[in-house]
Amino acid sequence: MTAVKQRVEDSDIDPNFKYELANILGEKALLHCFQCGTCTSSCPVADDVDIKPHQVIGMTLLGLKGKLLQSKTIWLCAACLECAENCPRGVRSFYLQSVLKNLAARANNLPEGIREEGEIILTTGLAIPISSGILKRREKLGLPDLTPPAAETFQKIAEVTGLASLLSKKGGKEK
Amino acid sequence: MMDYALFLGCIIPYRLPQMEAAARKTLQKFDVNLHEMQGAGCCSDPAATPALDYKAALAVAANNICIAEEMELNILNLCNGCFHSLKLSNETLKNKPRLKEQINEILAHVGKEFKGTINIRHLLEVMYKDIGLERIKDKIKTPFNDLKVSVHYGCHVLRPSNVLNVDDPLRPESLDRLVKVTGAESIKYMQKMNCCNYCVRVVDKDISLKLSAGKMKQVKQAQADCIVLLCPGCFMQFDLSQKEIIRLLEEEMFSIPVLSYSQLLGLAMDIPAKELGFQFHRVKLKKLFEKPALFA
Ligand code: SF4
Ligand code: SF4
Repeated sequence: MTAVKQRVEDSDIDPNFKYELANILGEKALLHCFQCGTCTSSCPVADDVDIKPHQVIGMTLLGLKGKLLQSKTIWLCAACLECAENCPRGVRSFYLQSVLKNLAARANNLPEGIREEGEIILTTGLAIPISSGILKRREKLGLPDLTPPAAETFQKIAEVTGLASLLSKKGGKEK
Repeated sequence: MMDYALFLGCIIPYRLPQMEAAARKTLQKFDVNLHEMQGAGCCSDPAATPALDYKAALAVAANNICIAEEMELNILNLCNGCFHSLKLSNETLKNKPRLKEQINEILAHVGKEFKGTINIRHLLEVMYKDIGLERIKDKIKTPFNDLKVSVHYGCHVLRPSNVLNVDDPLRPESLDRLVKVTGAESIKYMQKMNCCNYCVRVVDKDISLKLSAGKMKQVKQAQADCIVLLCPGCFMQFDLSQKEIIRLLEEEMFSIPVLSYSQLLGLAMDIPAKELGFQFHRVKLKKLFEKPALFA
C-alpha cells in the first residue's frame, strides 16, 4: 500500500508546505526532485515503511503536510545518509526528513524511543547512563577519570529551543 | 608531534572503554598528543536530537566545538556518529552566517560563542592521511598471517561525502589498506557497504536486528575470521547483539569476533590483549587467538 495512491482532497493540500521546508532548511534543492527513486533504492528500511523516501519528497512537493506529519514510518530511519549521498538532484533527503520529524514531534507524532533518547541527552548531557561497572572497567584499563558534562548547559539548550516541554510529555499519542 | 582535543562522546567512554584504551595506546606510539575536553558531552547524536529540533542539535554540537576552540586545538573523534554530528555542524555554521547568528543566540545562554576556528577530524583520517601506512608499518611487531577480515566502515565516516570528505563513499579504501598493513587480508563480501542499522533500534528493535542479519550472513559466507570496524554504534550492533542477530538467520549458531581498528593494530603492535580490553567483548576472541599460525 502506498500513501500517494490514496485519494487526496483539496483540503489535504498545503501549497506552501514545500516553501516552508525549503525555508527552514535554507536551501531550495528539494524543489528540484524529479522523482527518480534513487533515494528509495538505496534506503535500507524502504521495504519496511509505507511511505518511501522518494514519496516523502513527492508528498512534500504536493503539499500533503497533514498526511506526512501523522505518518509513523517517517520515524523509521537508519540515518545512513544513503538518500542524501546519492540524489542526482542534490536533495539532502535525510536532513529534509529530520525537519519533517521536528514538525511531526510538535504535532504529537513522536515515538517513545526517540523521546526518551532526547530526554536523557538534554537532561544529563549524555546519551547513556553512567554505570559503575563500566567505570571499574575503565580503571582496569588504566583510563583517565571522566568529568561528566555540565547537565545545566544541555538543560538550558532544551529550554531555550522549546524542547524541554516536548520531552517531558511521556507517552504521547504513539503506540 | 600532533596535538588534538580528544572528543570521546558517550558510547565509547561510558559503554565500550576498550575502544578508547586501544585508540589511546596505539596513538601514543605515533606521537599523537591527546588533550582531554573538560565539560564535553553528547555530540547531539546523528539521529535523535536532529529529529527533535535541528537548532537544538546544532547548539549541542557547537557547545562541544566551543570547548576545543578555547583550547585552540582541532578535535579528534573516535566515533563515527560524533564525527558526523560535529563536522556537519561545524561546516554548516561556518558556511551559513545567519544560522550561526541564531545558534550563537542560544549559546549565549550558556556562556559560549561559536567562532569557526577549528577543524573536526576522525581517527581514520589521522591514521591514514596524517600518520600514513609507512609509519604504521614500521611499528608492526608481529604481522598477522592468514587472518581474514570483513572491513565495515560505518555510514557516518563516509556520508555525506561532500561535507565529511574522508574517502570515496562508494569504493573507500583507507580502512582496507590500514587493515592490510597489519598483515591481515581484507576480504571481499556482499553488502560490505551496508549500514549496521543500529540507529533504527530506538524506533524498532526487531527491524533493526532483521536488517543486520542480512549483513552478518554475508560476513559468514565470505568466511571472515572477524569484523573490523570504527564506530561504537556498529560495535554495539555486531558484538553485543550478535547472538540475537544470528538467531534470526535460523541457521546453525556461529560467532564472529568484532574488533575496532585500533584493537587490531594494537595486537599487531604486540600490545597485550588485556590492555586492549578483549575480555569485555561479548563475542569471545578465543577461537581467533587459537587459530594456528595467526601470527607469522
Ligand atoms: S533521489 Fe533525489 S531526485 Fe530522485 S526521488 Fe530521491 S530526492 Fe527525488
Ligand atoms: S537516511 Fe534514512 S531515509 Fe535516508 S536512505 Fe538511510 S534509512 Fe533511508
